[in-house]
Amino acid sequence: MRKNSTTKPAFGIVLRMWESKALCLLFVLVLAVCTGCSKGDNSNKGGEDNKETTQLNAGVGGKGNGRFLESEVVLPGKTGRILTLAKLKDGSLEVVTEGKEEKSYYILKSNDQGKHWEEIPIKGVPKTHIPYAAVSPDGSVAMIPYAKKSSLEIYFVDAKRKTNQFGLQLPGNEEKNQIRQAAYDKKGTLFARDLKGSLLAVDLKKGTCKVVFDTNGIQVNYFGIVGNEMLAVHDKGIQIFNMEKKDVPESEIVLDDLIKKDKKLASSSLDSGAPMVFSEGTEDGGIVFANGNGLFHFNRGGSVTEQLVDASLTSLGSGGIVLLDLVTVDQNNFWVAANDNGEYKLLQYSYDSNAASVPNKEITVYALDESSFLRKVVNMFQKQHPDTYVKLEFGLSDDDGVTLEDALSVLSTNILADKGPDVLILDGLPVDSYIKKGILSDISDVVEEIDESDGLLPKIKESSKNNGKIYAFPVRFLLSVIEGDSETIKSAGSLSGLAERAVKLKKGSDQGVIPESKGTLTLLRDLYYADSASWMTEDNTIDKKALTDYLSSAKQIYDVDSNGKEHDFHTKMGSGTIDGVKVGTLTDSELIEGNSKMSMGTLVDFWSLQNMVSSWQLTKSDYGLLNHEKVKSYIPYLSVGVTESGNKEAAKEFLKILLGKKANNSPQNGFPSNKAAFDLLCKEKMDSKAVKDDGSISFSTEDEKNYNFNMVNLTKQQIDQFTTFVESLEKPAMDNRIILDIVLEQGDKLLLGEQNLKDTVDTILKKVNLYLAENN
Amino acid sequence: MAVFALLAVSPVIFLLAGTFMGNQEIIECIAPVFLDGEGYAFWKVIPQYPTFCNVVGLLLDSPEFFIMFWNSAKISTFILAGQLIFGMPAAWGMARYCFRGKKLIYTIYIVMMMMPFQVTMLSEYLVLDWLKLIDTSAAVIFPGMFSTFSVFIMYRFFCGIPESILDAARIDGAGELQIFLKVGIPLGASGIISSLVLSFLECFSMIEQPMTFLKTKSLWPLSLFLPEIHSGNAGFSMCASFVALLPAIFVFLIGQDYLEQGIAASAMKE
Amino acid sequence: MANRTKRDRIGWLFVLPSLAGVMIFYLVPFVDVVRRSFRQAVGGGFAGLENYRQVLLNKAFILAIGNTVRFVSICLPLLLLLSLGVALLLQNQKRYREVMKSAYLVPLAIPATSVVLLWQLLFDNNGFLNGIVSLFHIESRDWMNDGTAFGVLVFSYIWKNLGYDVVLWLSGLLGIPVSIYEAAKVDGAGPINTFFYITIPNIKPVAFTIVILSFLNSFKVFREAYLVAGNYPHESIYLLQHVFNNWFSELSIDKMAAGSVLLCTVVALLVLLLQRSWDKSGV
Repeated sequence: MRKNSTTKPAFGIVLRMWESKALCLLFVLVLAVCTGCSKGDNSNKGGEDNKETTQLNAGVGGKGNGRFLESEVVLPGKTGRILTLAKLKDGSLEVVTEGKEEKSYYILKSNDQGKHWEEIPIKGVPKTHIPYAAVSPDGSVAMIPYAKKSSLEIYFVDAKRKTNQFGLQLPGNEEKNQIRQAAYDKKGTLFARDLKGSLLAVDLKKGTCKVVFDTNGIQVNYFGIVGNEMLAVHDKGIQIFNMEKKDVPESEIVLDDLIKKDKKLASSSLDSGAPMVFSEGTEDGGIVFANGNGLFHFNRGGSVTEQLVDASLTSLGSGGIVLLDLVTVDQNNFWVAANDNGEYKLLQYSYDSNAASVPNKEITVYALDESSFLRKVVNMFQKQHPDTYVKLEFGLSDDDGVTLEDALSVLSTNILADKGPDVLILDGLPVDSYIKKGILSDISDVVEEIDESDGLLPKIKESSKNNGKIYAFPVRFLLSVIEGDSETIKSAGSLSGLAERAVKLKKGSDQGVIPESKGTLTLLRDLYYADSASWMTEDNTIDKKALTDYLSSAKQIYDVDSNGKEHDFHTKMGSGTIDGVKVGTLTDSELIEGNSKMSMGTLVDFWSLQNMVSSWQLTKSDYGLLNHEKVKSYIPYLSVGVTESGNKEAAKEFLKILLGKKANNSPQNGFPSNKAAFDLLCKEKMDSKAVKDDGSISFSTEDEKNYNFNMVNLTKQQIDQFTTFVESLEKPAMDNRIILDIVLEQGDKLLLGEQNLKDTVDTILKKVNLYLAENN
Repeated sequence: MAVFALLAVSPVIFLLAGTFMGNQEIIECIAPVFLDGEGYAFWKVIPQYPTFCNVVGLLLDSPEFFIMFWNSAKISTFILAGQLIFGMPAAWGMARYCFRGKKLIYTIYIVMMMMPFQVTMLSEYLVLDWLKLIDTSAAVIFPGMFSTFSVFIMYRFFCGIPESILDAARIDGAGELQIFLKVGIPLGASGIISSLVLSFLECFSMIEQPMTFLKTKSLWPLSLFLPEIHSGNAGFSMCASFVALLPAIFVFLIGQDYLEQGIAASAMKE
Repeated sequence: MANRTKRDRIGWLFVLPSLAGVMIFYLVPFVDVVRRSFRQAVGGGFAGLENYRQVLLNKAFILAIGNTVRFVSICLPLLLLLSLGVALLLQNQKRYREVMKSAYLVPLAIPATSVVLLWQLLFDNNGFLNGIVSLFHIESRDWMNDGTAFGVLVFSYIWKNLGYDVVLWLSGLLGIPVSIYEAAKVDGAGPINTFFYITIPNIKPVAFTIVILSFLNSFKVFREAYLVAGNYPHESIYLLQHVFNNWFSELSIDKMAAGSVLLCTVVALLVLLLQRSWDKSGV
């Protein structure tokens, strides 16, 4: 205790000194915290509210059994495009459509809720493209074409089906104004929204429009009319106007929150349709609305919305669906007119009290990267198996930096705890490790089945075999290609040949050879995918010579143009999807502009193939495969596996749809391994919709130069050449993200001149060997 | 000596200066490292164009920061409280009494203290999951409450109290619990506080546990707040790092003397 | 005597709540780890000693152990000696002592994320250190990815923990009664003798605490290494936790479990040895 006695006085003084300092700090902190508090609370509260606002509830009536099931209302055969859907005063339903032979329009009327339709051709309307139509409560229709210099002719078809023409002048005389949306209210007044976001009441007889709703300067993105109220959706919420008193908008916290939470619901950039559509609620008032999350019911003044339909179980969640109208047929029946990925449909949601309110089986599908293709397949599966709920999980979906490590550790924990997913998309995951640990199931039975019915690209099937079994199969794939003149194509038989060609092209010219957009990481990645399939040796290490050749060619190519010693801002992982759609790295724009003499990268899908071929009208180029001289490889996309510990039966059912013809008949998101789908797409490209639609691509550069070319069909010769290319691909490129990251990190230093070749190769080998040694 | 002290404190000065620099200036300084500018990175101890915009931006405009701040505060408080309630008696018990298995328990405690988190990560996850605690703050708080590290520190100190004082109290008729509460704790105050300070520092810089056991971002503590430095928010992250530093230093300054006292006394009487 | 045993049983009661918690949150998971070390990673089939065999023969594991041992055997003595030296110097400097102590302790309070930011700025190819070094015309290098990475880690460890240990030593030193020194002086002992025969024996107890705590902190250095250099850093700083982490990502939980059990056994033995030697030297 001696120490205490000597230090006590000193201690006291010191304490006092520190205490005052401590008090100051405390004061500052408290101040800081207080200022932050209110903000913090706000956002916290927002979060809480969100949880409360949606409850899954089985329609009107309560929980337990019963749920709204989706079905499609069959429309007469001539129906091509749906313009609008409405319920008339007398309860009958009316649809305005455009026939399959375009530019002819029809009114479809049904008195028995869609069982029978009367199809009335609209006469007196010119054969032009008419984007919008509105149906008034008595059945008359206003057909609204595009305006020229803010004035247009509206074709009004009355209840007796006689067509009259009315001229209309939009506000903003000389400027270009358009009507973007139009609808009638209960009293027969036509309302419209123009380009500037104003809500107008249209007087057809006078030919003028008046701004009747005082939005206080806020631009309206789209609107909906529900009973006596006009719902004007803007960026921060929804203004609710009463038709009687049009000047003071009300709002509902719940609805405003909807918009605030999901920016996609605030506005849409499309010509027609909206992210959300509204209609009257059930008998006791209220609003029903449909959006990409489902169908909901909301009572004015309430604090919650009731979810009637879960989008993920229906077409509403299929992604790429554009909503046109929502109609409350009756308390247990709602209709949605929509454009589902190009197909116009009338979807009906009717309450089935016998259906289980929540599906009793569940499977989880997991992928690291967001994928719209997967979403579509999940939707297809749900509709065929309404008793199974599919939970789609994306490991890296958040924009707030969940790192790859985090996602992997969460996934690993789940798998080890036997709570792993049933279907696993293996892109970017350590597949070999998983196979060794026995996590994946043998899916050869499903693969054989698809091969028998539709056919699978044979070499892809072969290269997926692992000791006779198949644990992972690529549903789609990409190719590595080179685009340029014929000499360049010939030289691309190997990376070194390509490098020499690039050097040669540069001599005596100060124009660019390699596209400027190829930063270090992009270039390395492209060449990696072309070359890496041959790198693994027998004893599971990386072949030093192959790695050295790859790196030295990459350096040579990069140095040709000295594309600035700049870091590439592509993320290291480069999952290559934007909004869930897989993107390739082959760009034609620089060839077109004349800024480069060649272009290389991944060719991602049929759409890009057609684009590329069409661009040759301007560049007169050709293309070929870019590969290692000994091995031609493809890049697997959506490599799927089924886990041993999951619900294998349901998972395999999912797999069948995932690999099937219907799902794979998409010109985007990779090329299909499914041969039937592949052939179909080839055929389509020889006589494509894009060309029929007079599609064209145009873009302009910073220095105001414009480029434009029309889409062309592929010739049979080109299709044959492409098919030959595809059929020659024999091995998958290495898709191990750990190895890729290491190569990119070190290769980046090499290209930027921070490290020499020998050191780069050595460092890469050391790190990769460390990785491989861990898992020996 | 002084040089080293300067070295030790320099990071704090660095961050402080950074807080008041506008983004432009910071970019100038650190561009070489993060944005690949030419030459070498450097730093200005006193900013040329001091500005409060980062401070303002942080304090008034970023709710996430405060949510995480309060999470850290909440988690730390509960853990420290738990350590007092559970750990203190345990340290006392092991220090003053001899019972069978004491040596064993003591050794177990030390070994558990040493294990790196990765070792028990999965198993702890499974246990927490079985207790339905995953993704709640409790998943981080409960294991922290029973940390053997704090028991170890407090134990060393409790050992240092002379038995004679306790015997005197016993003669006076005090029960064991009373002895603990009225004699042990007051005499051990500095040891207890030093354990609390060290544990607090530990809690505030926890990374692996919250990352593994807490899924929802809104539950994350401040220690996981590591925004990427890019031209947009360089100043902001400087300021954030600095403010994140403050509570630790603050607690530290208060507890420092107790810290030394406690460890000194414990060291002496072994 | 009955009193004594009754009292001792009460000791149990004091410990019980903590023990219960420790069991649930630390021991039970550990038992699970031991169990898994004898089983396959997934599927739970019995694997006997296969995992141990694989781990002991695993090159990555061996590298990591080597590095960890190297690190600890260099850092620990270095830190102990340095801090003791500083403490001895400060022992007699009443004036600066308080300020110095506070300054040295600051690094302990800085959160890991800020430290990482600093390290990046300091040690990168274009970082501060290279900037300073180039002024002296010494070649600049990438400190974290070179042979020097190990040195950087040692520096980081010492920087963080020096103050802590200095304070501990100081309290130990200051606790030695002045009278003993005076007595020694009277007996004619020189400074060296004083040091070896008086100072050292009297600070042995503090030393035990310091060794244990410094050893504990040496594991924590993984955090900084990981945040700066990632999962596959330069081979000289590839530590045990890196292996464990990576094994986990690859679902090699069996190897991880076996490795952990081995680690635990070694640590337990060391601790026991330490305790034994401390007890023997009579405290």
